[in-house]
Amino acid sequence: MRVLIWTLAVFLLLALQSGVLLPLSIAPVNLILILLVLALLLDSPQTAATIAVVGGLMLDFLSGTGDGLITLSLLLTFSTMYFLFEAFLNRELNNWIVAVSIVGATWIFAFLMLLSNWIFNWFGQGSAVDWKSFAWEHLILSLVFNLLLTYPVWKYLSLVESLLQKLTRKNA
Amino acid sequence: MIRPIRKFDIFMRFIYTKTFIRLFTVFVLVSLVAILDMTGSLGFLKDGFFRVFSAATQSVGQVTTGVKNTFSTLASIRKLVHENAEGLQKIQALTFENARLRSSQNENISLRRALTLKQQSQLSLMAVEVLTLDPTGFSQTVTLDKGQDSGVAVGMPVVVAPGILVAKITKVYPTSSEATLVTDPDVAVNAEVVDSGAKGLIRGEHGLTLALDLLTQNDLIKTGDQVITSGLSGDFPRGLLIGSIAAVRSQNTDLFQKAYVSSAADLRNLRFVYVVK
Repeated sequence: MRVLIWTLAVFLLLALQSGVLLPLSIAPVNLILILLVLALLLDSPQTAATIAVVGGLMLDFLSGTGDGLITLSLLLTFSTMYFLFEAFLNRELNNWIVAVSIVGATWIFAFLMLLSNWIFNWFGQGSAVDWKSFAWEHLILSLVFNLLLTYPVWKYLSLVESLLQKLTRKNA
Repeated sequence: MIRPIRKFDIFMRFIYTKTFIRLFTVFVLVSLVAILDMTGSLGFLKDGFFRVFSAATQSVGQVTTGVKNTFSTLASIRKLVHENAEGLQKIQALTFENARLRSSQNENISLRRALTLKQQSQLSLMAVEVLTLDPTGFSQTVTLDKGQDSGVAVGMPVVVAPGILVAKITKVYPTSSEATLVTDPDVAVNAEVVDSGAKGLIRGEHGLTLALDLLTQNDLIKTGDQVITSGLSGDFPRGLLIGSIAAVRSQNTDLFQKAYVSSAADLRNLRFVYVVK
């Protein structure tokens, strides 16, 4: 049940990203990454892992990259962030912790995406990367937009969670 | 005697934990998806996903575009009268130029016939609808609603009316296909600056700009010059409009000069395009 609801939630979030943010030229942004980090902070690692796999597969299908590349990057980001939260950060609703986590996750995801792309290139499934524009334009814009859209995604996560709780209560 | 715990033992214990088994299963699944994609076995699944996602996105997208257009019209209402007058003037000038070009074209056809040169073929276009745009921004791709069954093949150019190059077909599924936009670093286009005839190579920079490179220092180029496909590599037919030069970066110490080109089409709001067959 949880997996199904989260699959629908991820699908809807991606539809909103493509239908609302792209026409308004708010790109590049990664709402799935934000949702993953917030789920790891405020929900459970299981929810975050579900988001990483489902969101990654959907993004793989929608992007022109080889399938599995974004899923792998998101899973590795999830593992790294999980380790960092366990080792260094408190899981609490603090604006600074949330902001630092989003900035950190964006950097880590970008690095792991390049790493996965390098691995996929061995099999001829990777994409060409223009390093200069990736580092100075793509990454900086991602950081700005990811930070700006953290609050709406936070609210979205709370909404899905409350919906899940209602459904669980009804079933019980 | 008690045997000391070695690193190998710790590793073996970790292998039998639930966490390792879960992680291993997920990574095997990811590898499986990658292999299925390489062999092209995911075609039908992707076709279905594109249709559902496109239905969800387009209804939301139409509302967004409608609201955006309303606000941008309200914001620019003062400019509209001036722009309208300017536009009418441009239409008159272009009508005259069009008539002159038609006459030149007829003359060109007659001369080619006289010289028994091969006639430049008309483009054979197939109208397609854009289903989805890549939301990641990492690779610049769009999904189109026609695929292998309609005769779409890898390498075909994609244009918007009237002949503005926007993408190239890179993956084909039974009833849909993926096209990589010219703004992707994976797509290189042999280009020519219309006024000076300078030839170079256009490559995208992650959807943000188009860079026209390999222009010799002797080439005279300026902002506003139109850039078209040169047809040199044979990937794209000659004469498709790419955009106009937005900025030129030239230094005496460099071997080549570089220009930044702004695309003639709005690549973030593509809806209907044509595949050049």
